[in-house]
Amino acid sequence: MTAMPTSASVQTGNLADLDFWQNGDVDGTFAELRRRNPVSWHENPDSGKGFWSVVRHRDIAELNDRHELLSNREGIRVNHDKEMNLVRPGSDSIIEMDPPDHTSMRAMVSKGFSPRAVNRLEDSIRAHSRAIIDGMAEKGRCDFVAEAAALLPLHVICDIVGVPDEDRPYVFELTNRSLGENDPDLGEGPEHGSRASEELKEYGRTLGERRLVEPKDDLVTKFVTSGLTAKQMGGFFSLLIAAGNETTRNALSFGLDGFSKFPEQRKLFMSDPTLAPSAAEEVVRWASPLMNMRRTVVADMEFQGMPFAAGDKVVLWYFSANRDEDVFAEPFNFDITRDPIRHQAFGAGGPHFCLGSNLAKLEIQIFFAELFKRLPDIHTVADPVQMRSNQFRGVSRLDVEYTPC
Amino acid sequence: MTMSTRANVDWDLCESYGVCVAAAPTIFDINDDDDLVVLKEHLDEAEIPQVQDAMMRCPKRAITLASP
Repeated sequence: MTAMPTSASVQTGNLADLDFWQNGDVDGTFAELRRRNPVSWHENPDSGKGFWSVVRHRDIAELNDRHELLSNREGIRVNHDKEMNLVRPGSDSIIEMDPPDHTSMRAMVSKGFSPRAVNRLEDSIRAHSRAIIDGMAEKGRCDFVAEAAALLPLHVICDIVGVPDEDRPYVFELTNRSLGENDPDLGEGPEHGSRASEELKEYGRTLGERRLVEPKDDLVTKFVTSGLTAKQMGGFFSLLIAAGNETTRNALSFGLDGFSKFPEQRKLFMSDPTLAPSAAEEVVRWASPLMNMRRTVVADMEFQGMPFAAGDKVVLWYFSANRDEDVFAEPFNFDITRDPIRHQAFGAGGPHFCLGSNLAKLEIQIFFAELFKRLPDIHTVADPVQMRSNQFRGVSRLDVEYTPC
Repeated sequence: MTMSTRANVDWDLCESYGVCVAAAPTIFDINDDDDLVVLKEHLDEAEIPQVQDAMMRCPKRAITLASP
């Protein structure tokens, strides 16, 4: 369809333009859109075809509740159009399926991520956290992303899925190339990003074949013995690895950013362990590592007075919902005492609600408790360097200082 | 009418997040196999607001209230 001129497109930033995300007034633009143009059209070659943007908390919640109106089947990335014929990261996997197919596939893994299953990982998450902090403690300064935030989620998800230690740097690099496809420091464009996803799937299929011969107590073994096809196996593998190691890395990085900018919150966190669960929720709200989910209109419809045509891309901006003034008092403050914290960083509810949410929250709680115990004065000395993307709120570098110990 | 209001769980959707257990502990529990169980289907009037809270908090939108 053709561009929809709106007053918003004149006065505010263009969410489809990747330069806007590096140089524009992101917070001001979303505040303006929430106030005046809660549903608006954005178009730029960076993002392929134009798309509808939904930016208010309550509108996103409504579209999640009426999930049959929007499909995941044609891709979940803002810039991937059907015509591009890209092999999308996560295709053949649950993130790009709709109910009812989605329901039965997701049920194969969901038990592994229930609160009780995740709580059994507490000791291993703590041990990984301590080893990582040991590795950086004497330096006095470092890039927090490379030395800490990237390592914990990578090891935790690789433990669960069953990736051997020696292969972890390889799957880590493939994830960066896939999710950083639009950032020249990480990837080389959508074609290269999709090729990295293919490699990740291929690795997963090969690992599955090894586990058929030599079973272990891990998810890959469970997949290959439960009748998944090789293709499905690859899709599951790449999704779990990418989602598991990238998002939590960015949550930890922005979390330290929040604790550094609001030092009284760090004192609260250290003095009152009962705040750990709400602190993890606030870290995730503040970070919003997956800024949106893109879906596709199933049949012509109207939403908030706007004509959504079948095939149009619709982008649900969780990042904006998490700063919605109607839901959060002082949304730009990092405040671990918020209660309740109805953020949408894991999605707004419904079939695709983040499978790993319990795991992410536990990693965040344990890691910051261990970090501040060992390095109580660790703080950022610059803002996070953000990855070039209008979907993943990735941190490529975060300089920190602390008293060595 | 509220005498026999029931709490229904869509078992295809439920993934035992357990958020409902915190919201309505007399109605929902999680057993040793990590499955959600409904302790009591027919609700007292006083329990309805708790179940409504659980409905709203359930990440999978798996809970509904059914009146006869």
